[in-house]
Amino acid sequence: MSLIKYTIRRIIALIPILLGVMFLTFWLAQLMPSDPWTLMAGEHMTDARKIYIEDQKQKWGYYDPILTQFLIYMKNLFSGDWGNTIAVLPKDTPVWDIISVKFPKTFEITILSVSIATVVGIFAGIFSAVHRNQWSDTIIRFFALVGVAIPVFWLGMILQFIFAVKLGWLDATGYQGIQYITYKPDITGLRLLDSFIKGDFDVFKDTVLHLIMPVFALSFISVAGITRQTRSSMLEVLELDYIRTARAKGCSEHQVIYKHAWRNAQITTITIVTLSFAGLLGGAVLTETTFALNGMGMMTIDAINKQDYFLINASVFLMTIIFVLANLITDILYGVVDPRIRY
Amino acid sequence: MIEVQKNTTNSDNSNTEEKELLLKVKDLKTYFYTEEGVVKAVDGVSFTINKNEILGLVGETGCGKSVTALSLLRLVRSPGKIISGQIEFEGINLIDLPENQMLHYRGNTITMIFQDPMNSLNPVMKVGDQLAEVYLLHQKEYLKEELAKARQENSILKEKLKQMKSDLKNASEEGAETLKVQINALKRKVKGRITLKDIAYRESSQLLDRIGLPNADSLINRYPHELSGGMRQRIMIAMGLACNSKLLICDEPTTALDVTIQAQILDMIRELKNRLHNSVLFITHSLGVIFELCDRVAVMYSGNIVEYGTVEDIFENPQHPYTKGLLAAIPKVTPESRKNKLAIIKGMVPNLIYPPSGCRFHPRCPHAMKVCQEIRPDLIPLNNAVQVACHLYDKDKSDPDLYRPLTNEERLEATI
Repeated sequence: MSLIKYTIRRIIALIPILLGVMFLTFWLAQLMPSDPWTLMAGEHMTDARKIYIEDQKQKWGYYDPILTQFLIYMKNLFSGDWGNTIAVLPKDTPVWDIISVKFPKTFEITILSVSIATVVGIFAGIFSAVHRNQWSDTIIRFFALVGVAIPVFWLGMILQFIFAVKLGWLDATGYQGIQYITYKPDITGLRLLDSFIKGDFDVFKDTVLHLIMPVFALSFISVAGITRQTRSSMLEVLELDYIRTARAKGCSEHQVIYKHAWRNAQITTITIVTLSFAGLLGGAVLTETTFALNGMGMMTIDAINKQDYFLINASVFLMTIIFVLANLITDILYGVVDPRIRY
Repeated sequence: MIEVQKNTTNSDNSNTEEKELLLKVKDLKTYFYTEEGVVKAVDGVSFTINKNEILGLVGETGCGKSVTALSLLRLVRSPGKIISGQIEFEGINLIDLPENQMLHYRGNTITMIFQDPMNSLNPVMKVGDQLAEVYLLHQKEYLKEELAKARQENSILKEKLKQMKSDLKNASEEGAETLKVQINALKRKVKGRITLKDIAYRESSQLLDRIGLPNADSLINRYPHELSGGMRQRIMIAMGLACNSKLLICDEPTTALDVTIQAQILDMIRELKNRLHNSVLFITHSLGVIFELCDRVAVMYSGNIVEYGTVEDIFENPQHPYTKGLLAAIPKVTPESRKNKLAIIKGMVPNLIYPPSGCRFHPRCPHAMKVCQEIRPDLIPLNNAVQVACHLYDKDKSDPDLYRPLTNEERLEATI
């Protein structure tokens, strides 16, 4: 009961944060030196173009004060009109259409790599803490250190070199084989899930083969952080008094670790997992570039380079929501794991 | 050493003939292998605990009391290690047992409660879960029997309910009213599915009831942070007594609590001991607590037991200079005492990596002799009930060179 109350309290507390951040980013976008309306004109201004621009200016409240503009923008945002692209190709398409294609791609890669990283990282961390200073611990720590130290694009390129160039087992880049380029995941937007539901196992297999390398590269990097965090908090918890109590009760070592210590050690790991999830959802630019996966990261960079006002606003808005939600989930999970936080 | 041990048993027998031996610790050594050196935390400790008695273990902080207690359960963690010795519990040497058999003793027949109740319960588990765990670990067979019984009763109730419901259809109008009331009453009693955990919870709640904690049903659904320190310590004691505990080790259970709660906890331990006829090893640094609670007492100093006997003997007639010092250090509330300084034992607890040679107390001892520096005294019986490890009570003091007081220079050297 108290957990539900706690959750509702957290959600209510998020609303002002969300509005505040969104107003701030909206206002900052207004301060950009370039003018979206001029960009919209393009190189050859026709009469029809003039009318279109005037139309857009009216629609987004160009002649109104900034607060009104913000309200108009919010109103349109929530009614599903996120504006049209200005400079990013294809021009004049609704931003929503672009994001609804890119976001599922990024989401798919993110959820895969973060879940793999979480499971592997937590178990590696626990194992390494339990076997502290033994050779297995040393090996795990070595890999964790390597994972923290090496850049993801380097790892990606090495993978490409080995598995695509030398061995020729996998395609080096892209999201799908050339023969499936027209395949549209139209149920959830997630290729793996959709092809599986529809029973297109060729597409499924093709997607798996294309995702192995980027997912491995991304999760390898996240595993490192999660392992190190789990190990250090496990070591801390294992020294505490209630662990001694558990041993004195007659718990076996396995029970001590997985029943008594683990939950207490997870509190710090949760933050890392949710925040890296949020960070990756915003787009893993380096990985996407290395593997030519056209996801959120590349889209955002493109939008910023071309100063595409509506697309930038939309992706910042999305990112804000993702991070706020990630924080919410973190808070709720804290509450689930640790009853002391609920009050 | 063997001879001494023989004497111990003799004196015990002569004193308390009907008492049965429960635990015999002999020459226990627990060392910690740290980077600075080997810490000899427990260095040759021997004592016995009889059935249905409370043995007090008293000494300053850092003298090895807690490590002795943890050694009994074989819970000393790396870098600590039990080097040698025997821990005979009901005739079985616990030192040689494989770990999985040792688990049956921990929390079941030998239980332990710790100094700091605020941190000794798992903060993310409900009190009930932590109590139920003890039952699930050690009394699974009994729980299963109870579960079968409870399920049978429940199914009988279910049948009855079904019967009543079918009766309701045929019943007359007045009959239906009373039947409905009966059905509702029965519905409250019938449970959906009873699990082993429910039974363990029920047992825990009954245990808290038995131990005299009010509102046991609501207590088991709480988290430790919702309870006061005294309450948590009571829960710990309950946990210790959940199964058939024969030896309850209390490691300074009242140190972190305020005085009124301390008294309540001590009463509780004594009362439960009388009721359950178990033995208690009570570790404390407070002689007052020992005097109130214990039958016999072992005084520990720097990893050794220096004096060992019944509480009455030791309090009325302490033999070892350290015990004398400890007793003198108890503040007395008299009009004169307010003007005087508190009595202290001069010097510090010795470093356990490089302990003083011979008797470890000699650098602080007012009666230190040359022999104290050279030879470590054994625990020898002085009269029937008291054993003491001190050269003052050596029978043969003929050697004038050994049995002379230390000169000031020698004393200074020893202190350094």
